[in-house]
Amino acid sequence: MIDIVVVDREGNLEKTLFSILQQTMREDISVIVVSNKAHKIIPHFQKKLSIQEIVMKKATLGEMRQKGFDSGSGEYVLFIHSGDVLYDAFSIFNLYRIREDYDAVIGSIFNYSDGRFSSYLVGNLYRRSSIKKHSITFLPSESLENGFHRLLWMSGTSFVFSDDYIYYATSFFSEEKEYELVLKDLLIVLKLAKKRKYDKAQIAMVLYDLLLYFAYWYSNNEIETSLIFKELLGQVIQEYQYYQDFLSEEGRTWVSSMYQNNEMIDSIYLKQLFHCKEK
Amino acid sequence: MFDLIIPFYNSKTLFDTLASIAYQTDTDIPIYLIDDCSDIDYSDVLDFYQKTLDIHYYKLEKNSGPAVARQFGIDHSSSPYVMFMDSDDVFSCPDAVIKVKDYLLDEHDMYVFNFAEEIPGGGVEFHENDRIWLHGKVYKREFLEKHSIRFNDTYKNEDNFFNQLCVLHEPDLCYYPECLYIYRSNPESVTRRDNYAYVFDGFPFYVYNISEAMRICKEDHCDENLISYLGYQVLVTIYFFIIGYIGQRDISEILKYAKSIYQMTDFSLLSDEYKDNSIRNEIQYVLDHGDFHTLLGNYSFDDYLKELGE
Repeated sequence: MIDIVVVDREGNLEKTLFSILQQTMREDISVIVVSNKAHKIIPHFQKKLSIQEIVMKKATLGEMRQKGFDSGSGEYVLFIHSGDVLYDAFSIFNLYRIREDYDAVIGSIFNYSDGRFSSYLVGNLYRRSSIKKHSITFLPSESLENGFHRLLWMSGTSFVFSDDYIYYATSFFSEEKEYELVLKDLLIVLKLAKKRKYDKAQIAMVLYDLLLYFAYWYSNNEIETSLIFKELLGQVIQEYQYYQDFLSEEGRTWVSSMYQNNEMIDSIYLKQLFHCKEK
Repeated sequence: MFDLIIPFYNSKTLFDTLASIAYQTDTDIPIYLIDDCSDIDYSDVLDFYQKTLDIHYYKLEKNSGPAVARQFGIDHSSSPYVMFMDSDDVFSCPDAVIKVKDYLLDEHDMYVFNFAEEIPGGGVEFHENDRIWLHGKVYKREFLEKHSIRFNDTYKNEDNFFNQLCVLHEPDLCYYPECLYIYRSNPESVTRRDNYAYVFDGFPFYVYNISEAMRICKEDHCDENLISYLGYQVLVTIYFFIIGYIGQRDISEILKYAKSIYQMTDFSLLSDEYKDNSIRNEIQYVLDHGDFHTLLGNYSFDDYLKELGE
């Protein structure tokens, strides 16, 4: 059984549920909708899908995701934001068929990440037992989803990437302020990883990935960055400078393979990032 | 740009089918729901989608079968193109409608998209370049009207009849490798329920509908080569079907229509290679489906053709 946790961010919940209803594996899916208000449309879908609705009036997104995760019992969990849809009717099947013994299957997001980004929570299939085993939880603060995913990665979980588009995002953050949150979350989970004494090579890989991610972002957007952002990025770069000695060549190659034009990014934009910090 | 015609009778999955349209990035298509005199009240479902979809609902006065319902849909709609969807099927992705609209700018007479058939366990089997099912096909209204191509009133294999009529009238036909349609696994559907019985009971309809399509195309002076090639291919299919049932079931009706097909087939127009390949392909099909007993009968293909010619 696969739990799909729909975190309602005031998007079009109907569309999200429609897309789940199309899945060829719909009979193996249990849906958990976590929202800050009750939805009248849910009973219509309950005739068709196994759905439980959880209303949390004053919860943060982190708390909502955690509640959604805790309320299910399926072997696998997938997160989706309301308003977004699964890319096609085969999305869940395409993730499930390559799961083997991996802890997570990472799906591509159609209209956002043409490459293989490892940064997002949505559109991935997580093995519940792996998350529990490593005591990975969402940050309770109002934040993005990246902390959970990165902490799981730092813990040494095994990933496989799906070549198929899985997720169709209708709303993605693009505000610089949200990128600040990504960095803040990273620094919080990094503290946890240190405390839990996670493998340094694994931590190095995650930091390297995050920097490449921002390098990729820089390479595609001519955006002025705020002082807070630069300050936070500086802290992350400082951490990376400590951990980079632990980054294996294999890990470096694996991470950079996720990004388009990785050689170019690696040689030019990463240097630019460091340069930005030095300034 | 195109009308989507959905015939249904006591469907329990209409909600799902409409959901697959409601989650499209482009929902601007007229949907013709042709209720074939169902006993079920669909007002709940209609109310639910009325706000988001352009639904035109018609209820037939008596149950008449999917072919009549589809033709009713064609006759009561008006867009330049028509597409059909069964009430237990869905579009495969949220971009399906917008993709179809893009392709329609090419203005072909008939579009054949791939479709996927659900198999137990969540997987699918893809059907490519299919000419039998209505699934994933779009028809130009002007082409249908020009050649007076209409559904007949049979209950089974009516899709094959319609498609053969189209193909034999030589449309500007275009195949697209994209899969936009999913034929869903619904144990309650007419074609799935007691599938074995459906296959046998449906076979006379298949033979009848092919013979009817050939007859109409002869009257319309369609290409004799195309008609004969179809006739031979179908005679081969009939042969491998009936040898499994000789002595067990009444096949007289099948043979009656097969004789009609035989008479309309000009064997002199067929190449030896085509005849050989038709038989090879059918044997392969039989083997693929595990119906080995049909290959073990004493009734030879030559005897069969001889009997049809008598």
